[in-house]
Amino acid sequence: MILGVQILGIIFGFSMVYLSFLCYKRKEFSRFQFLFWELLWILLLFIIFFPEVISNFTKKLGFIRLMDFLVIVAFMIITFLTFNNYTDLNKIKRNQEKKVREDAFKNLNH
Amino acid sequence: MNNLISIIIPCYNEENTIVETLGQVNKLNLNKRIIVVDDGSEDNTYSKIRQYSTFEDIVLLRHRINLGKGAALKTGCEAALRLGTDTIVFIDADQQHFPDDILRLVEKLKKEKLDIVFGTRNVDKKQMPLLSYLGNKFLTKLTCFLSNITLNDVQSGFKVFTSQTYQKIAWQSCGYSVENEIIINTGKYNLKYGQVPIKTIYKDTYKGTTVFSGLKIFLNILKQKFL
Repeated sequence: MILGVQILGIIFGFSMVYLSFLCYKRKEFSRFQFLFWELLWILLLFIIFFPEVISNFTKKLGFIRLMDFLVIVAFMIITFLTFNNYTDLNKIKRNQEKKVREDAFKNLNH
Repeated sequence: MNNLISIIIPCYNEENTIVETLGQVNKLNLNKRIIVVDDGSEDNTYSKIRQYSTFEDIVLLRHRINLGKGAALKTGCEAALRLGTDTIVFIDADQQHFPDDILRLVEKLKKEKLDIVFGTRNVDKKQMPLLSYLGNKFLTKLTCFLSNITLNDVQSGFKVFTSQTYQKIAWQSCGYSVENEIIINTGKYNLKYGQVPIKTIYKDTYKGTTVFSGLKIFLNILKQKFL
């Protein structure tokens, strides 16, 4: 029997499969990026459909419920993405500042 | 550099005040060079300065996009150093400051052989909007505590320093936290500093430092001190 939380997970998984496909069609993703994200969402859907596949593994790690494992993994991914976004944004801001300043100095007479 | 003073005026959407500010600064009897940095204004600020600069000798620099006050001041300082300068002055474009006070700040810098002089406002409950007053008091206490420097007001944009000092106080902040970073760096490098009380008029409560930029400044102060 499928639980309510699995239904939510399935809706989320299929939505992400569709969104990744849209990004690829709009040429926002390369073929490699498209395959990477699709595989990730398909793996997520597979775990949602067949949670017992990884239950042995999660028990070995000390998780009583599979849900706890998924929540911890999700937090780790979100933290990593936030950190990654922060460093990337800083880099973009520094480059932008440099370019804008160079442009401002174009007509500066020494 | 024959005691040349570079007066840097950063501006963003100041079409109503910039020409008047430039006129007042231009009248000062100093060996000076005025450098205006238009930080990506969306109104007629740039065209007004350009028009003004056709009959008055000023250096006009333009950021194609708005980067923030800290970035505009840095552009101004780097231009001043490239062109050659002895002393650098920061003054706001919104007519909050009185350009005549530049003379008093420069005089103190030269007379007492200081590295930097801060123009500090009289932070008074009656003159300032309440939120600005409370925010200013909090940021002043925090910045002074972290930098080991005593100032009456840390958010004032009015300051004078030598060109050698710039190498030490050079900042990373793009926004309003530039004022605090300069003070923290002044403390860090044990620079000789002084303060001069300046007159101030509060014109627009929606421009400049808001509650949200105050929170950002708070986080940036902690970042500069501890990271």
